[in-house]
Amino acid sequence: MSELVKPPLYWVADYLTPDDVLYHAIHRVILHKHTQFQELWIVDCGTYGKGLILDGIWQSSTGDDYLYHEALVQPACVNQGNPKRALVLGGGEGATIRELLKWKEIERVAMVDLDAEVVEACRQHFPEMHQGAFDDPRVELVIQDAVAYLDSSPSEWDVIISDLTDPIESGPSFKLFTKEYFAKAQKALRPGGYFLLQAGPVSPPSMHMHVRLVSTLKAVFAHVHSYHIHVPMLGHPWGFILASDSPIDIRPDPAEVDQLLVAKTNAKFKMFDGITLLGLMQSPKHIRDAIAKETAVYTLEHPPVFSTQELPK
Amino acid sequence: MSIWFTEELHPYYRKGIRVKQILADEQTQFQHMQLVETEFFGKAMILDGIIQLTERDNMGYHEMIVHVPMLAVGQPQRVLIVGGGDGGSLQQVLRYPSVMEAVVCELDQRVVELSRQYFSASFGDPWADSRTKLLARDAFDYLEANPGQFDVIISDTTDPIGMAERLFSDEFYKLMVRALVKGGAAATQCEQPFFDTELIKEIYKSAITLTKNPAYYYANIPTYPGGGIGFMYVSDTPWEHGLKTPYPPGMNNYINPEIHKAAFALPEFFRRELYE
Repeated sequence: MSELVKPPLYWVADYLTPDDVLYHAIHRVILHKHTQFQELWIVDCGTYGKGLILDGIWQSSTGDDYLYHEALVQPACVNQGNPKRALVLGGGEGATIRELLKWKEIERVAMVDLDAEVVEACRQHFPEMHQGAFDDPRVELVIQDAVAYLDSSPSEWDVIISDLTDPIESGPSFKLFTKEYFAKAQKALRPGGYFLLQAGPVSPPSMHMHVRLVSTLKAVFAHVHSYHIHVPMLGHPWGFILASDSPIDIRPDPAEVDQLLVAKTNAKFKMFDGITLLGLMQSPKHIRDAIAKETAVYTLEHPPVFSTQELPK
Repeated sequence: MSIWFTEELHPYYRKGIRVKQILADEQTQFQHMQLVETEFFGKAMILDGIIQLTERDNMGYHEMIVHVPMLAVGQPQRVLIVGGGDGGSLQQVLRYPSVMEAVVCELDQRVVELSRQYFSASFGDPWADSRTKLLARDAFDYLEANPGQFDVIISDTTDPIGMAERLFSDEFYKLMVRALVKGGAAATQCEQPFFDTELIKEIYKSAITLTKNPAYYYANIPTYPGGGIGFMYVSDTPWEHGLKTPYPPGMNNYINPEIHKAAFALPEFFRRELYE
């Protein structure tokens, strides 16, 4: 064994397809527990810092979470223009609310997560992700099922960010990727509000769920736009879908966006700015083609089942 | 997703075991110790990145390293275990009603403490036996101070890397043989014929210089490199004497008369290397 490189204690095999594996090193297990809803690991993964694994799916790592979370939150906020009230569904790490709090005039951020134990573990072990966001007086943490919360929510949100875990059958969130649920989200938006969905991988063999989610959102909202970003630790390019009854600017002027960010945010972005947004909004042909062809939608009767079901355990 | 412990004892060979849960992970005064619940092998103990034992397959190791010399001697009374902090060898030694004292020289007391906590289902609590004498000291000094004292010596050590390297030296074998009574027998953890041919030849050279009837034997242990591990039997007493001795009370899970005999049959390439 080399004296210079300490070998990892364990390897996490993250199956991207049945034939392709992304191995993450575990140098130390910081926390491993079975919560009421899912199995949680927080690990020291070496080069990329610390990682969160829920129900066997790699969620995020401190070394590249800004790529995911800035791409998840900021396009919806820029399109809305000046969000005051934002709702986050899921988002246990607290990095999603961190991104919303970058908007100076934000008055209220509600975060609804089903699993209090995951939130508490992230609050304790991921200060570099939430950066104290849980302690901000504008933030309200609600431990509740997201569907139930939306059922009773008045139409008061400028931005709703759905940052839920992938809809695996045994997991808590598969119902939240259906037409019925998206209609609830639509009702909960104020006029001019935007809904953003974490919408799974868009690599060629794994993009079918993303594509069908676009089709599902199109059945609810007037304007729907798919985009994605490369988050190295997730293995796949990761897809998001922005939906609204107001228009989505897919050719934003970078200078105008930068002016807006200077005026309305604390401008503390690592990845995001006007040029980044312009680039993010452009999707390659194969994804646009797949979206154009898709007609089926997910409903409560036919909800999505995330493809890990077919992967080796 | 799955979590794997990967052992890389050799730069050209690695072995993986699927892990369900991590039970303990600590740096002791002497080594890095991991205890894990595995998917198939039950609990496993890992020292400095090397699997030492699992609940499922340790019996081959412990029964073979203990019973071969014990049965050859017949009525062993005083036994020394070098290393063996997990308690598996001690448990087998204590099955013999003839044993009056079992001394365990284990440098790392955390191995004993954590094994007592996690392996009691496999090994019971041999440390509570009044015949057990646990010493937290270096085996070299102890052997030097105790010539002609033991009927059987079991060298149940980690691999010859770092602190255990000296326990595979000619110097150690000299002290060990000197600590045996006349006609006494020793068995040592002696690595793997495919991977460690040269080391085993060196050790055999020491053993044949020091005793009349040394021999190498082998047991199948899936979680060790190459699927098994060998032992050096070191004695003037031929190992075959053990074939006539009745087994001690308690159940065997690996050794039986056929295995006992067959363990000494070596593959031709290795027999030639070792004995010609």
